[in-house]
Formats: sequence, structure tokens, C-alpha cells
Amino acid sequence: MQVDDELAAFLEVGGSLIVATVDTDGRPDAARAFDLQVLPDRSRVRVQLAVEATTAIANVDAGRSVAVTVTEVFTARSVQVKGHGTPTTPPNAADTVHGDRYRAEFLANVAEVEQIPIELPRRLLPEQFVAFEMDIEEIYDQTPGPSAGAPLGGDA
Amino acid sequence: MTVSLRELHPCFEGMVPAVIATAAADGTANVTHLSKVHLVDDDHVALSNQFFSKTVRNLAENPYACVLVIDPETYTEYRLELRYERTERRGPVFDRLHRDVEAVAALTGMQGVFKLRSADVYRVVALDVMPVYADVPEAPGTS
Repeated sequence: MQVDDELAAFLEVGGSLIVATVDTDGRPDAARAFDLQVLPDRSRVRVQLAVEATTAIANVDAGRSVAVTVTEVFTARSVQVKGHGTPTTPPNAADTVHGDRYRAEFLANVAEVEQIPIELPRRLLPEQFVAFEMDIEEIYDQTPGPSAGAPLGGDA
Repeated sequence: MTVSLRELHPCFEGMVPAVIATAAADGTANVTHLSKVHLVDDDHVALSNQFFSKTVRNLAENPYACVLVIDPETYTEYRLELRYERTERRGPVFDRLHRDVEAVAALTGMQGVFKLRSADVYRVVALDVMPVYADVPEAPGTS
């Protein structure tokens, strides 16, 4: 599924990134992600997890279902993408550049909206990451409210 | 480090949105933010069910959930593994969640949109402190 330009830009907005994966017994795991890039064909995303997110990494590596929700911290607009990830790898140079920018924007946004020192949300920020890619198989509006869960348009 | 659920009470004030991951019976993952997780007792938390959401449908098929909560004073994060136990449509837990939902609806001008259907109660089967990567900053005026 290919996202349009507006949605592609939103997914890289520097928002909160949360990830769900599932283990072999069907038990879900929640983790934070620390970068999301929409790849040039706009049908795949590249996501960075903390190296300490061992459960999520194992679930991604096993090829099971992955869900990633992006929330813009000022408006709470949220979009969820679902798919299956490629096995995780160490980040490449482009990941580091993109991720550093994403993480700086995220921390600044959280500090501004919560009116807190940036050092507080920085406590959540890991030092080492892994990356995986995921086809966008499904995409949903996840903004809080009665329309949460509604499918969003895209080119199949 | 062992920590009790009650020690996490700042996490349950709704200052920082929580995260909930669930899975459908076919293994499809779902993740969304929650405005608030409610402490019930030493072993249980409650979540408000306002819409027939994917999270609610998943939990009807698969009773396990994973929740992340953040202490707003320290930004320490905790990971809770939950197992659904029961739904309450009246009583003190329901009443407490109802008041919270009404308050949020009033604040956001969404009365009639956000309406509590039930209070869903979960046993906390595991509780972990997540890694932190920096010291807690000193509060202004303490140095």
C-alpha cells in the first residue's frame, strides 16, 4: 500500500512512536521506536528500536505481525501502520542522520507540549538502535475518538 | 529491582499518555495510546472502554495486553503485562472511571462523544522497570 505525500510527511513528523509485536504464544509486547522513515516508494517504512527492546526485536526477527503508531504530540493526531518486518540490522549511516534529527524533534516537541525540561524525556532515549523495514500492508486513523481504527486511504 | 503497583501511582494520574499493545486471535498486532490507566488494588488496573475499538475486540479474543506507563515526575517508564479478568458496568471502579471520562469530555468539548461503556479490569501478571539513559534532572532551585 502506497501512502500519499501528506501522509508520508505526517509519518515523519517527529511524533511519539510506539510499536506492538506478538510472540509465538500470541502475547503482545509494547515498545517505543525512535525513528521512522518513509522509504522513497512510499510503500515501506524503516523503523529504529532500542537494542534493549529484546522482545520486540525477537518478534520482528521472527516475521510476525508488527504495528507502529505515530502520534503528533501537539494535536494527538495518530496513524497506525501494520505489516511484517524484515530482520533487524544495525543502523546504517543514513539511519543515524535521519534518526538523530527525528529524535531531536521528538524531544523538543515533548518538552514544549508538556512544559518540562528536555532532560526529562531524554531519559527515555537509548544510545544504540537496530533498524528494520516493513511493507505498509494496512493503515488506520488512530486519533483518539470514535473514528479511531478507521482505515485510511492509500493505493493498494 | 522490585517495584509494587502502588508505588507507580504518579503514572496513573493521566499526565503522560500510556501505551497499550494487544493482539487479535490471528496474531495481528495493534498499538494505541490510552489517556489513563486506573489503579484498582495491589494486583489490578482498570481501563475505560468508550468505543468498540480494535483494542476491545482484540481483548475479547486474546486476554493479554502489554502496557507502558511513564512517571511524569521522573520519566521512568514501566512495562505491565496484563490479563483481562472482568468487566464492570456499575460500582465504585466504574463510577471513578465515569467521572474521569466525563471530566475529559468536558475539558475537550466532547460531551456525548466520550461515553464510558464499561470499566475493564485486568490482573497485572508482570511489572518491569524499563531502562533509563540519563539521570533525573534537578528541579529548578534545588542546586
